[in-house]
Amino acid sequence: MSESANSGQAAAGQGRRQGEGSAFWTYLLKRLGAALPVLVGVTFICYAILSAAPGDPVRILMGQHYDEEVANELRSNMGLDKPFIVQYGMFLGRVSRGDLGRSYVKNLPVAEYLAPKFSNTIQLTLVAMFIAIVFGVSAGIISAAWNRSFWDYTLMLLAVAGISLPVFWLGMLLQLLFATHLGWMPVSDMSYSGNPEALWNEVGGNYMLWLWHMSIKFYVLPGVTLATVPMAIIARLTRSSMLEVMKLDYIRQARAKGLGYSRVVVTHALRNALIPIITVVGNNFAVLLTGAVLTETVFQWPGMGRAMVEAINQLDYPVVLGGVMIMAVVFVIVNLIVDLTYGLVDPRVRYG
Amino acid sequence: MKQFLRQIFRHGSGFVGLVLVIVAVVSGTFCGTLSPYSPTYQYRGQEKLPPGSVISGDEAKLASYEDNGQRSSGSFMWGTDSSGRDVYSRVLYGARISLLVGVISTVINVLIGLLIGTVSGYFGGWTDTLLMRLTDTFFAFPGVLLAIIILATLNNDEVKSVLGSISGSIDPGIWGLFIALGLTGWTGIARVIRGTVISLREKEFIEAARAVGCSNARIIILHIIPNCMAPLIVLATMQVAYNILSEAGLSFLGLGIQPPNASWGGMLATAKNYFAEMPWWGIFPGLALALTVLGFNLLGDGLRDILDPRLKVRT
Repeated sequence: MSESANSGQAAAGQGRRQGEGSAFWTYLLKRLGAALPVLVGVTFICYAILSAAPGDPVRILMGQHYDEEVANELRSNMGLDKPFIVQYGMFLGRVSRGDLGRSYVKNLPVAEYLAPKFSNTIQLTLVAMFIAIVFGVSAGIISAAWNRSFWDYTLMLLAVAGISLPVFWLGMLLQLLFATHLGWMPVSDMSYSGNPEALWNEVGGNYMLWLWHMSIKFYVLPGVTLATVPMAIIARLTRSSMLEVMKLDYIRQARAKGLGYSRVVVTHALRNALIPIITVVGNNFAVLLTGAVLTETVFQWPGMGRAMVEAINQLDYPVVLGGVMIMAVVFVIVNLIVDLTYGLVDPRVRYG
Repeated sequence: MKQFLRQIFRHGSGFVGLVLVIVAVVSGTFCGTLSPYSPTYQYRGQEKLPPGSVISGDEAKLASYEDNGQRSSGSFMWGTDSSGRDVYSRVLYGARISLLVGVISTVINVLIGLLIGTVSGYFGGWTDTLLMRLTDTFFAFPGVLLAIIILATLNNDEVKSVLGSISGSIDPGIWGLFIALGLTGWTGIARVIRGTVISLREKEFIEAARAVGCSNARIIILHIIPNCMAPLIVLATMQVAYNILSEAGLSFLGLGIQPPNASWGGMLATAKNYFAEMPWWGIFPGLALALTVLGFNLLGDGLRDILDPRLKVRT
């Protein structure tokens, strides 16, 4: 009797968990289903605009050895003589098999050409995102906890300034101050160009110092530059989100039962203010990852953004299309992850 | 209007924003009379002068000779660039470009966003699904990338010659910027307007309008859109700031306004290579750009607090 009741309870519990699990998977499938048309749309818009662009890819491919007959043959080989929609269909077919095509200019498969650039941009973005989250959330908490104080006004003024500063100008100023005048940081590039072993001897075998000179210091200025805008946005949003939560009754309740102010702010208010913060972090991660063009240009960072601008200027359309495709995929995935984390942060969220 | 002015005056930072915007608008509008020199004229022998340089005597004669005898002495308040052009005049003319691009592309953003947002929110159903999917698609284009692609397409000789004939003294590249930024920045506006329309749709006064036989178009234009004005004004003000920044970024990459024509982004792109040697060349246009964008952002914040306090921090 008791046994069956137990098993019944267990089954019920399992059933609930299973039900929840399948809701999660249905939600995931639904979201992926919505993402697919977005990806197709992005490539379609991009393909349509580029096919109207000036310049003949065959001419670029052949360079000085242009020959009409060979060119025509090449055109039909590449499918360039077919109608636009057929070309686009062929492109989608190739992409769905994981083939992004071949660069006209670099004489490399697009995926192979973009992979290292993508990795460089990811590294820079992660550094920037880390800086932005740590300082942005802290500034927002301080502003909300000491609302209408001197620090609140100062930090929020800085945040508006951060949103308004042109990133490339900020990068130039940081470069001038910390690299050219003070000499603390390198002006540009990604890593130490000299002999690593000589550097090792120079720093006297101190691993941290060696690592700093080898690579870390190269990330500081571009990282801070790229972090400024998301940092300011995160700070503003954390503040407004916290202020909204702090008005609620349970915060007063927590204070009333004698908990310290800092504990209430951090554990009670922050946890419940996290959802909008996560949303904006996710949105900005994608924007950062893909919008690092200007920062990369200022600091000569060999990343994706610069590669894309270069490809557009050289009419290297496979690289442009491949790059847009990769970025759109990242964008969709990051947004999906953001939506899925809501449930982790806030158990009240149900996937439906 | 009077009440609005009183409110914005009381809203400290909003008022600062309004002042900054007015300064920028005045510089951009009257740059022809305010600027002491031609923004593109290269004064030979006056290259790389630091701010406050006064030229007189033989140097002034040289300058006046080359400037059609209009000047016998003069000063370069903010210095000259590496080709001997007056930085102050160029910054003033840059304001004209920035504001033109910022405002006109925002008008295009608002028109598209309003159309898609109202239609999508008002009709709902599959129209809504379709239009929101379209919005998602445009939103999934990272940052200024779509604008870059559009600019690259427009950047051919045929298009340029047509545009050049209608743009007069202004760089024909400005048309590309209008189109590229106008077609890309509307997604945020469309979403917010859609949300507003959905909450308006079920209100009694809309139902009343429908009951007396108003057509859908009439309801949207006379009843829905006027009630969307508060969020629209706030979003549009902030969008101007964003578009001005994007314009500067695109010109910085060499895709917008081309030198020798003056634009803040273009000036910074060349000044970057001389930044350690002649910092004034990079400081002044950057400061002008940052303050103008700050002005629009502060004004937008102020307008939000006054018109529509519920609208959360966007961007």
